[in-house]
Amino acid sequence: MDVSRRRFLGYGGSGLVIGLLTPAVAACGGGSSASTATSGKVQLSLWVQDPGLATDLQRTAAGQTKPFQYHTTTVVQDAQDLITKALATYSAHGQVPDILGVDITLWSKFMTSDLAGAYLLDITPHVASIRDEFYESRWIAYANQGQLYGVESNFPLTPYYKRTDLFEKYNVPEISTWDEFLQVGAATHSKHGVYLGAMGQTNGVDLTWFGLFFQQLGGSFFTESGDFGVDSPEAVQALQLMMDLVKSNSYQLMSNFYGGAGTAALAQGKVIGNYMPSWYESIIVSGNPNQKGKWAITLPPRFSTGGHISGIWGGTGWVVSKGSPKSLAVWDLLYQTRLTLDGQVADFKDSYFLPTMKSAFTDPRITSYADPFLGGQQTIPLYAKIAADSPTQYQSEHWAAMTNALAPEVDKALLGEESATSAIKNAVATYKSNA
Amino acid sequence: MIFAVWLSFHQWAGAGPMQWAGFGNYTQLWHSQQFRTVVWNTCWYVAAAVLVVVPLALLIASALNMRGIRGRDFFRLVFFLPVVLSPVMIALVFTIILDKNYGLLNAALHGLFGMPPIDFLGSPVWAKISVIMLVLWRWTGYLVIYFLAGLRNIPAELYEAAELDGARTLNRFRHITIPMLRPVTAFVVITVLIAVAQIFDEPFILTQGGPANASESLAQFIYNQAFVQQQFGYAAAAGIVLFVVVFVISMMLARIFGVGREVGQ
Repeated sequence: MDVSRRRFLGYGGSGLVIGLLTPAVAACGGGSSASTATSGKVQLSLWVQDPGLATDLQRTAAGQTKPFQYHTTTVVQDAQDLITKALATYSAHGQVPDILGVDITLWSKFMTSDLAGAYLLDITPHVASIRDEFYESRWIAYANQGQLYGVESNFPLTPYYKRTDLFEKYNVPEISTWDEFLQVGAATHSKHGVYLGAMGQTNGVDLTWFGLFFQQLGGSFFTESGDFGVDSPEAVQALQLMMDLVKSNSYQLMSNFYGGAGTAALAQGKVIGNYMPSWYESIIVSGNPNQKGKWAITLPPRFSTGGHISGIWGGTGWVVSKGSPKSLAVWDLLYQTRLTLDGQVADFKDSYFLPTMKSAFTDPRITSYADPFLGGQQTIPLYAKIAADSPTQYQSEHWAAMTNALAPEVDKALLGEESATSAIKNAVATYKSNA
Repeated sequence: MIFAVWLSFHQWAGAGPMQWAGFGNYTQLWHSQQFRTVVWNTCWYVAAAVLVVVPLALLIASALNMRGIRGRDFFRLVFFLPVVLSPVMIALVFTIILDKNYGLLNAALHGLFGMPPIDFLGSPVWAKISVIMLVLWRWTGYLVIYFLAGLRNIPAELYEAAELDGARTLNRFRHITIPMLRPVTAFVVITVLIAVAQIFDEPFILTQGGPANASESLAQFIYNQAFVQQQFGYAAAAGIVLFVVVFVISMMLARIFGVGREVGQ
């Protein structure tokens, strides 16, 4: 079902005006009154951790003249600092952002003491009629106490990236399971000294690789009801695979994956593939633009014990500040950019942000797109398969406590200081004593 | 400060209402293995700064102060340069230099001595040593400036008289330079102690405190608890502990060095 803007402004929009006015008026109980802008010039402040993420909102804003004419100012800051700053301004009733980009791993900050409910626009009623048209997992990622607050900016689906020229040169065969991957990886490294993948140490914060394997296996950091989910056989199996990948030299372990070492590994052709989310392509492009046409994506290896086609990691949800007279204008901009088919198509074509709308994966404007960096590969059919079986990342206000407990143990296991079983056991014990 | 003390007796997420926690945050710190690890790491950094960086700075300053040294201003500039460099640039350069597989240092060690690669940033022991190396690199030149200023204020006739009495270089250094530099040394040691006890930049930019908290400092712990974990009360309690410890040690050092006492008292 196509969602027209007219329909939104007619139904959702009018409801939104009422919904927004109530808290706005309540918040201004001191006497000043704020009226919700329904048309005209609007100045919007947009806070985000990556300027690239803002380009789509800026494009929509620049191309729109009715009913709002937007002028946006963008504040770019580290993801962690951005949320800290936003919470401080919300708390102090300062100059809050009109639209805020929240990294998925930081959403838990808004779940604490239901800060989301206190400061952010509850979009549940406004997306009720279109909710089913999008992958539910991306709504859940920015929800709290059953209410939705965020609109996903990109669907970080995870393929396996490979250097086609080097795979051919080293005669690397097709790989369908992680067990095979271990064997092929070890053999390839022993013959040619190259790795089929790389992973970084967590350094206490980054659970990307554990998250990918764990969620591919069907594990979940937190259950739907918010219970801690790491105390599971899937967690041990995921960590054991990571250890085996490093030990067998199938993967190279790096202390600085996103820095010079990661770039050098790709530039020198030492790491010739990787199981990473869709945003990894921009990292390859920025560090090694000369490798254009040499990469391709495939479905990642599966676990022989079951699980999903692939894992998932990352994402940034756009949230709208509550109670502002500009909220309707902000919501309209967000709606046009990420909640319409045209918006999703434009996002993909302009910025390569994967759609979250189910029907977009069959839209010819997208399916026919040939990625020049990936040698003209039409990637959407592959991503569509992964999207259909994508895991849901349930959230909890204890996400940071989980990371704090788990990340050091993952590092210790990767350094060979602990077994996978004892690392998970220790992480669970630490989490339970801290959360 | 008063707010921090007040906060340390509460649980607070940074926004919304505070909840009274009594001594709960302090009890939690006492039982926290991670807190013990970061305190121990910080002790290593402070010890390295006081026992290695300060003497090294004094030696370099003495060398630069010697008569007949050419290009003194150039060397002063070189030693001071790390202080004014951007931490982002330092992070970029040092992570490239120290990387296990692609780093320049390992390449040099392998090329010169055939050594296997050392995991400077990824091994728990080497990560701490790497942070100390960065502290050494960043702080030594800064302290050299203070010592140089102190050395310039030592009357030349003292050295001349000692020379006439037959005192050798080492004896002149021991019996004139060190005692005359006592006020400067006191200032430098206390300043370094206070600064390094709160060390944040070096482990943060080099290892992010990893692997497995092996190089995390107390200041980083406080930052993480406040801005990552959103446990502002707990972070405040750790901050108060840090303040008390640094204050007490600084006072002890001030007494040892006789800061504030008149000569002869």
